[in-house]
Amino acid sequence: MKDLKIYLSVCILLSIVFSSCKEEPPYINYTKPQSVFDTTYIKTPVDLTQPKEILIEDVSGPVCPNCPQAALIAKTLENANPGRINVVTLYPNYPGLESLMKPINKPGYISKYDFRTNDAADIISSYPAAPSTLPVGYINRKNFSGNFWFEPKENWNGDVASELTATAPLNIEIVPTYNSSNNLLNVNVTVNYTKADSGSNYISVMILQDSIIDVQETKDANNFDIYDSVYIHNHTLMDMLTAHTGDLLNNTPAKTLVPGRVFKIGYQKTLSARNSSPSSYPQPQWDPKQISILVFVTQDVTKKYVLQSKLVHLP
Amino acid sequence: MQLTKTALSEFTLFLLALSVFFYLATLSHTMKKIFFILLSSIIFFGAKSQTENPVSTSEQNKPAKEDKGELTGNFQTNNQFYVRDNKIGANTTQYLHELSSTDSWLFLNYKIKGFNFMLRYDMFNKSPLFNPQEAYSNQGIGFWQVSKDVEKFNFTVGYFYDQFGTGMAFRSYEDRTIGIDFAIEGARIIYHATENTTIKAFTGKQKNRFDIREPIIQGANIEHRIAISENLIADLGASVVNRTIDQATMNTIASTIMGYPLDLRFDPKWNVFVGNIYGTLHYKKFNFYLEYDQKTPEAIMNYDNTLIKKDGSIYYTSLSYSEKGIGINAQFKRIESFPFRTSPLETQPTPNNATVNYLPSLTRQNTYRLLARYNAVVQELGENAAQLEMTFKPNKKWLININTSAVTTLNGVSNSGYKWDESTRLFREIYTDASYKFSNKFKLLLGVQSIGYNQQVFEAKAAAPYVEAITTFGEFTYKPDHKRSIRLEGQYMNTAQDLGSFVNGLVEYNVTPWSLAVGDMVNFQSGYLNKPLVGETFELIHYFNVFAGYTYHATRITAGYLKQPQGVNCTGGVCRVEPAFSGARVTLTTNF
Repeated sequence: MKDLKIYLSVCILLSIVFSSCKEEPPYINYTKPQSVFDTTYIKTPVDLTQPKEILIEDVSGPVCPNCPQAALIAKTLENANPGRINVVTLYPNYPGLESLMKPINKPGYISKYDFRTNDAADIISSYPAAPSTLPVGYINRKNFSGNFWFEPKENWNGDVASELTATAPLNIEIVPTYNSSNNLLNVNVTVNYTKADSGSNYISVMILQDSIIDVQETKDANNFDIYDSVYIHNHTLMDMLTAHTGDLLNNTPAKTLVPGRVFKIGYQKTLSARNSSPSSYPQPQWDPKQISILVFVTQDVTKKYVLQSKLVHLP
Repeated sequence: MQLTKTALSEFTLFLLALSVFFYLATLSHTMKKIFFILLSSIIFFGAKSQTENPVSTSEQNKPAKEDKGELTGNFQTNNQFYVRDNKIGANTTQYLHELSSTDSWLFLNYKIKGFNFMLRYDMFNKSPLFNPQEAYSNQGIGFWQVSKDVEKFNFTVGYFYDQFGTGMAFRSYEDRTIGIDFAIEGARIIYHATENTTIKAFTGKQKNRFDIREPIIQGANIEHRIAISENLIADLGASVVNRTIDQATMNTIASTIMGYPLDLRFDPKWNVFVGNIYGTLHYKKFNFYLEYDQKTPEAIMNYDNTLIKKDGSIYYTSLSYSEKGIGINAQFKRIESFPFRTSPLETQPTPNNATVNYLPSLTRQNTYRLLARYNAVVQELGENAAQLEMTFKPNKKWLININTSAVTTLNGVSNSGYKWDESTRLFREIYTDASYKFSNKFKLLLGVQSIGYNQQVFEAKAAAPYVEAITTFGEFTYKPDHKRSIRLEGQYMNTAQDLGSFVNGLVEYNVTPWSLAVGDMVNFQSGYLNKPLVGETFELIHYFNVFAGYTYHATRITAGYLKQPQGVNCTGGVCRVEPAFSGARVTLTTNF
């Protein structure tokens, strides 16, 4: 009888120990693609391949004094390689980076905006390991070290140099238009494969905004931490017109990624007031004059490697 | 619980070993290698010095029961030399490039004062063992374990093999003949609460060649025996096993799901739980076994190679009766959506890749070459299987075995009854043999087997028709004295499907310590898959084999030259499709 009691007690204990709380599932995009049209065909003859453009995703935060240096490195690379470097600044609403991301509230230096977005957080969360310090960046979302995809700013020059020698299997063309009467942004994207590619390819479309002036912690000439109340935040990720992982281009078996394959996809978004700030600080509002559209195609969501990218400013 | 002083000191030693384990967990793979080479050297030379040191007079006067430790082990090496034969399809990478391969294992076990240290050095050179299409080369510590008995407890750290009940909820095992080594690297506690009650719990990660798979596996099990009356005894058991997916694997799963159309997407689960209860009732000469396994919903790989979210279940029961001269065993099993792997994506390179549990096959495990040609690989996504085995021994001269089994898809058994047709049939076998012992020197066995085999499902051959094969077989043994024996065996298999009909013959001569054999399996008639083209004629294909074995004390050396066709190779009910083989095999096994 004593044995039976032990047996029953352990059975009950087992069920208690292993009965878990409700778990949080990974991000799965259930929303229909925001594209207003989506056509594909094979074009002959096949176009010539455009030079590969390099995507730098600069993870930054207002309370990160070294981040302006990273932004400067990205700017220098842009200037040195005109038309070949596309930069986006990510402010992730990510708990592990909250201390570097939250708006500044110091005497005389109070942030106007909260730059954080869930899209940026979802992007950095989609990697096996997210950064815990800043600044870091993703260069064409390539895993250079074999450990982490994110790279310290000191590596950016070398990483970019090596990626500049790579070739892309596709060309991207972006035609954005904006109707100020109804605040409607139209983005027509053409992805044109010049070489075959295997596996799944995903397209990501980001809306960026330049010249947002707000407080930034930085370094002075003597390397002391200071606050710059008129710092210009450029390439800020405002929103995405696709899932943060991108939308699958070849979403049916018939859409083979062969040379000449063309995808024409149209996206639309009304630039209404932004009000999903994670804090009491408002998000930066839309300024159509400072908007640019960044489009890139990744190899697949696991490898993440950016095959080609393109950035254009809203006319 | 009151620990004795000795037990306490031993427990301290165990804690020390545990600390070493956790320290090792922080070391790099190379550092681990160096550490274990040093450790094994210490163990080896320590044991050697203990055996070689002359025993002093004072030591002779000590009680003889002092534990000086015991070192045991074994070594096995399998070497293959490949001779390309396009005719039978023996043309994988080893035939084209590497031309030979070697697999070797050295296992050492040192026991002292209740401690048990195990170490295994594995070496694979150009090996097709893990993936028949690959030439894999690597070597290093493939297994290590430290365990200790402390009163009613056993503590184990390192790699371990274990299973709960029949293994359908959890089984960590090695089957090196088909490249399986699913050891768990982690920690395990076994507690013998009473003489009738055993409780186990473990946590760890599954071994993957010389690496580990990241998802965490943990579980607990209790087994208990109750003597209800003099004639009625119940053995009861229950288990819970949990697997938690790691971030990188989950990223891949999530990205795979996001590649699907919207209506097929779902939220994958980080955790899956498998629970089971099982029990055996022993009543006089009857044994009745019943088991139920339930798996919580998770992403599983469907027939069309896409992920779906589904829960799973298994029902398994058997009833056996045994007394002098007769034995009967009837079994039934229903599996529904029960793949249980470290990750649902781990379905390559072999179907049983990275499995956390073991699904036994309810079909006869045949040994004769042609009888074992068609095996039912367990269908983890769904099957019904039933088997009836009977053995009669009316007197000392006769022994009769009868076996029949059938496996259907899930739709084969439903509320509306049993359905056996083209849409449901997977496998069936009717087998019987009868052996007659003429004297102590002569023995004859004759039998017949009828097989039905769904080659499309078991071997993923899309155009292959359902195989119907009848095989007659016989074996004659003559043993003139206790040192010599001659054995003749023959099988004749008739089928119009697959590769057609075969005949196999073997002559084996044993004279201690030698064993010699020569045989030939001939594909004398084409089948559906190897029909000659128009204008061509079918040529006989010989799968001959020559074999020699020599045993010296605990060492056995074998060498053979053989050809074998492509097919499903099964050991212990675990199967995989293997390509054809042509070439020589040399093996050596020794125990010390």
